[in-house]
Amino acid sequence: MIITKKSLPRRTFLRGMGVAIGLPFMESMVPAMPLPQDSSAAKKPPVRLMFLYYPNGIDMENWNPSYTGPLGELPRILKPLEPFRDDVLMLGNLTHNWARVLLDGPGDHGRCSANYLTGAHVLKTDKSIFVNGPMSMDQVIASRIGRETRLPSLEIGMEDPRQSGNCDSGYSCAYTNNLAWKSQTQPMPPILDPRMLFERLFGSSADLTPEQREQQRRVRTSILDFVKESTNALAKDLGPTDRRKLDEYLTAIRSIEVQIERAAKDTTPVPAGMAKPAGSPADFAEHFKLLTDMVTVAFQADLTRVVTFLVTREGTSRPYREIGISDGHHPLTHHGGKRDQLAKVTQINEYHLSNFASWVSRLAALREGNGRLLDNLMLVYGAGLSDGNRHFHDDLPTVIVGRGGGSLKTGRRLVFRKETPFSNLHLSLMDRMGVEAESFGDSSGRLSGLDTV
Amino acid sequence: MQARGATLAPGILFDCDMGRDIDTTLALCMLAGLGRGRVIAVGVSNSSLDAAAFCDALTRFYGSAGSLPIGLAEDGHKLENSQMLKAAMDLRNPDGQPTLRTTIRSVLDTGDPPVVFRNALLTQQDMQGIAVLAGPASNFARLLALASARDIIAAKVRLLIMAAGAFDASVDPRIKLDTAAARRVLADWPSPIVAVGLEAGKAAPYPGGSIESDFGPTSNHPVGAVYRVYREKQSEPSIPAQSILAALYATNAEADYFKLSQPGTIEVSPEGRTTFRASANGKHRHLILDPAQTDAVTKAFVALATARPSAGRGGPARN
Repeated sequence: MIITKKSLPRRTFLRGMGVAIGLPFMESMVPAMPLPQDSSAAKKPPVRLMFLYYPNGIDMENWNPSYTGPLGELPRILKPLEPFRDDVLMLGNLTHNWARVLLDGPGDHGRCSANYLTGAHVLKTDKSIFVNGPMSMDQVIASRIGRETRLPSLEIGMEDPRQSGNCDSGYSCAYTNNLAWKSQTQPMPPILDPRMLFERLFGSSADLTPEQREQQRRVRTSILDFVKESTNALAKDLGPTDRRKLDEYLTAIRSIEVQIERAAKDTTPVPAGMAKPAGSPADFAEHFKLLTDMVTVAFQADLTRVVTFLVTREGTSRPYREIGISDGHHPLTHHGGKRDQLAKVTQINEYHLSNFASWVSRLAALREGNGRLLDNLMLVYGAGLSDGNRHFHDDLPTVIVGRGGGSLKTGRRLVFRKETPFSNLHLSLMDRMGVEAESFGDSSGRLSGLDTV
Repeated sequence: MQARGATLAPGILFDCDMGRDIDTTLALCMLAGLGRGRVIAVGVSNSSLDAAAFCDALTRFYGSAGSLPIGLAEDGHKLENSQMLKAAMDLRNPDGQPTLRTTIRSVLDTGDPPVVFRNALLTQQDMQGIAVLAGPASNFARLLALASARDIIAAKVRLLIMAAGAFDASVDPRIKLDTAAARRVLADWPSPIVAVGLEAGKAAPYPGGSIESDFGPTSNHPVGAVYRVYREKQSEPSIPAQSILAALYATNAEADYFKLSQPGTIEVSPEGRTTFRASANGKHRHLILDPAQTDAVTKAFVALATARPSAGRGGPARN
């Protein structure tokens, strides 16, 4: 007879009045003597994948190090990631050929965002959108493993809800404003409103009776109030470490609520050129933190394993007054070699990276199982253009942060041969998410050396 | 109805065993700088970085400005001797600067040939592309194996010209180096194929003497440098012109001096021997040289291969 300690199910939720809060991985979820068939799942947290997409290219002079192999001093833009160098894998020479002009003429911005996760040709149109690939790689993964989590995938963004009209030289806004594609004609629009994202993660009042909904409205201060009873009941059975972890986790959720409430009251005028979704903070850093804090919770509670984040959209003319830049991002990237304009582009690139690095620092502090949450993540930070001035689609700036559950040897810069399809990365990441495929997009194989030194 | 691309200047894929003979060098010179066609991608089927660097440098010399992708086989056969290529790469301008420049320093600066070819073909209108093979068929066989590439070839390439095979009793080493690849390409390549055999190249040799007179010992033209090394080991100045003939056909297929066999099928024996069998539905032909036209052919060779890059399109002074 096999004796096992009664363990907490991984899929435990704190429930109450239309709310369901998933829990982070806890010691109590590991059986003392796991059954053989449960052992690997219980011991090994799942791997999660996220793409963070940045538009208009990067100042490559300040992105690419002069060396390959072990990461040493990082170039200016990547400097904020230096404390986490051992968790960083830089990739060089990856190319999205279908984003190039080929026979389609101008419209690199429109092509490259729609092509980024599909690896496919994008029909040049602002009406009957069509991406000539079955679905984006995140959706391939979601379709295979999405049933294992409450949300098959999560799509988020920070600006511009338009899904029609011409956003770049005849390319529909649906191309520039979506990363994820469920089919050739069906994009998955990102959630832009932080409150909508919060409700997606923790349930909504859709299944409540009108009386319950009214009661919820009247008494609402925090969703934590609605789950108080189940929280107390659960806490009684937890050891001190798990109790502390639960407390920290719920405090983080409360902090997100406070941020959302503050954002909803934010009446700061929106600068010209910036499409700020309702209820979101006008400040880039605050907005980014709010969304990524929610992604952190989604990862901790294993609510989803695939996230795409269109940080800002291709061709955005958003200014960055937060850092003293009143010019639009896109016009600045067409600097034509003017040093002062290029310097501002570099500054924007650094600002994006520093916000990302702040999030990484928060992730690095979170434990999961016997290691860190970061050990089980693959955060792909990148862009669909390298040189935004000349619209180059080769050597796309790509950094993976996180160790993919031990499937990535980080702390290195790997450079592949010229013209290596970006889709080869997709195929390699799909492998690591447990999704096997012979090919994807315009792949020619898998990237070699991601897991070997 | 004729496909749109068939009336445009062809975009040429050139795959070669660069460095093994001067024939291939001259063929690339003709295509890169002087022919009516435009080279859109170059593949190297041996695994020599020197060969890839030379192809890059030579196409830059003729004005590509470094925009031409170079594919290099990682698992190709070894190039025994790259002296000819090195001689050209060592050339200096009067100001002491290198005549030929390349940015290829490692294999990372080159691409995988099938990917390079596929990507280049996607820039072409339907039926605009012509593929020229001047070496073993290894890279083109790998191209056929790449997902969706066969459909792209079928749509974009109107003709494959193979400077490979022999339609007399001999065996072409280019076939022998990779018979499996030659069979695969002959069997699966979707467009018509014209083969230029060893015997055709021998029947219309390139007059090496013209290189000596056009590019003397002090010339810093790469053709002169390559030829000087070639000549050191040859008793005859003439150069068998199998690849050159293929290049000329790629740019002047309609010229009077070319004749083709009837349609048929080329088969490859395990020893690398090629046999042509006529058949009405065959998609292969081989080039037949009319002895009466040999002079015209060699004049066309010289006119195309020895011209210098036009001003602003390349040449010794470019980076």
